[in-house]
Amino acid sequence: MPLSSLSSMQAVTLSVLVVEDTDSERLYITQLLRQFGWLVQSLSNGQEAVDYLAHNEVHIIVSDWRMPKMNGIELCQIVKNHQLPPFVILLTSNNQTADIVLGIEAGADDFICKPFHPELLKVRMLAAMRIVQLQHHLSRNNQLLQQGLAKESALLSTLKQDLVSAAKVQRELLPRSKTLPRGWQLHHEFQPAHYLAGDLYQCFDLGDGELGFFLIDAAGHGVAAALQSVSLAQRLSLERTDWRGLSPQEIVNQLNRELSDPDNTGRFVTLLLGKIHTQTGELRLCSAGHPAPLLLSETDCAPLSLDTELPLGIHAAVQYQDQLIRLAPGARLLLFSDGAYECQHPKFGFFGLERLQTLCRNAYSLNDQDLLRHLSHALKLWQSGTTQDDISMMLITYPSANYANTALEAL
Amino acid sequence: MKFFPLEKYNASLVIFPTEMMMANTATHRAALLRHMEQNTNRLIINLEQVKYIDSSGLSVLISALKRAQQQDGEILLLSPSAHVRALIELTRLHQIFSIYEDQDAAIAHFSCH
Repeated sequence: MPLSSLSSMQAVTLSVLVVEDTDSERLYITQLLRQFGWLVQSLSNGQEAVDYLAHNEVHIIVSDWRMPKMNGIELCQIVKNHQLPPFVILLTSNNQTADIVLGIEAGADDFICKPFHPELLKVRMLAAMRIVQLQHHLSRNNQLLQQGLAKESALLSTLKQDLVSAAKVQRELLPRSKTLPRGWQLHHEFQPAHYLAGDLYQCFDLGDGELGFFLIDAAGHGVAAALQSVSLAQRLSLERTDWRGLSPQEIVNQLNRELSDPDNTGRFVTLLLGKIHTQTGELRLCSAGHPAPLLLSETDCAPLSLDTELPLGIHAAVQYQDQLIRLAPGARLLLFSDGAYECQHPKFGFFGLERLQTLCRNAYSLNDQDLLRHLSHALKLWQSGTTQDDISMMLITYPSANYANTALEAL
Repeated sequence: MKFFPLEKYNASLVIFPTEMMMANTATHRAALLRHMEQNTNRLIINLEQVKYIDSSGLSVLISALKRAQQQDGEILLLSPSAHVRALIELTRLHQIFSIYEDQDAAIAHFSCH
């Protein structure tokens, strides 16, 4: 503890209580202590002291051992139950080890044998004072810490509530309906690493037999990434983007030019954005630094061979290109964020794209929802309890004739 | 993250730590940008030790690149592991960073640019 804080503590005036049944002794000790400059009150037995302590603050008690009504040992036992007990010096006329043990067990802090030299009382009192002051200092600091902690906890719980409701708002932006036109289906899994995600995706009916979809992954996760993904998702809503009039590459190029990073936090966004013709299965897809979706068919599961460009927000001059792919009926297209394969196991290392692919291949017979559950369960196990990054998966299913029949039979 | 200023070209060698993840990227970004304030516009970033880097780790590279470009400088990447290289290539960042396997070759790059 720095000296400055010790000297600042000396400002507190310590109050001393003398408990002694013999009048002459009591007067003598009281006088002595007052001469030394302490605030002194004196009483003639333990019971009076207990009553006095109920209403007054006392820092140090100097008490005789043998007294009528309540002796010094009993007084110690009661006093030590106080929350911040005073320092107790017992005065004893014998120096027997057994007595000292008894006194310490009862809770006395120090002993002085009678008769004593006034100087001895003074130095013992000074030592007691140092301890009392340190105790008070500690308890005051403790109190401040407790207050600080309570404040922080309250703040934290407010922040947590905010995050929870913000997460609800974010979830509102995800696709709601599983049914798309012409029997196309949409399933998805959304697991933010920490309440809010930097991932966001959507798939909607553009009318005239067309679907529009996107999956955004803003670098990092948490609030800043979530704000960015939410604002992008809103920018890409049907109301604010001319999905029908523009091709995917035109939308992506616009978006890239709009993205800026004034604080140079290096923020960037990877994105897949595309349009599907539900009748022909024609897919027009544009990728900005995003992992290629997996194409699941009855016979295989492989990433779409897709040229990609830099993520959004790095160079305004990048020209993004559409790619044309024709999907076959029955195909399932799995779009995902890097969290779906980048996670790490403490012993087995990276999950990896290939593992994701193998899982999909082996679980081909599962229906859409179960397949996604299966994948997200495997990822959860791989992360072994720690959430490392946001995980998003969106599965778009092109109905096959068979598929439609089974659906009918199920009804 | 460790910095070793080179003798010439206003350049420094920067050694990235084994993990560049969300939890520590803010600190590393600040350290890197502060270092670039001191008349350093060319960096060779040694990625040899990096075992794990996520998208926020990559964003530190982008920050450095943008700052370097403002100052007419350049960022070179050195010796990424196969895994880190795959991640860089997946996000097409190798289009904007030159990647070297040899430190002397990277320094030589500065002498002719």
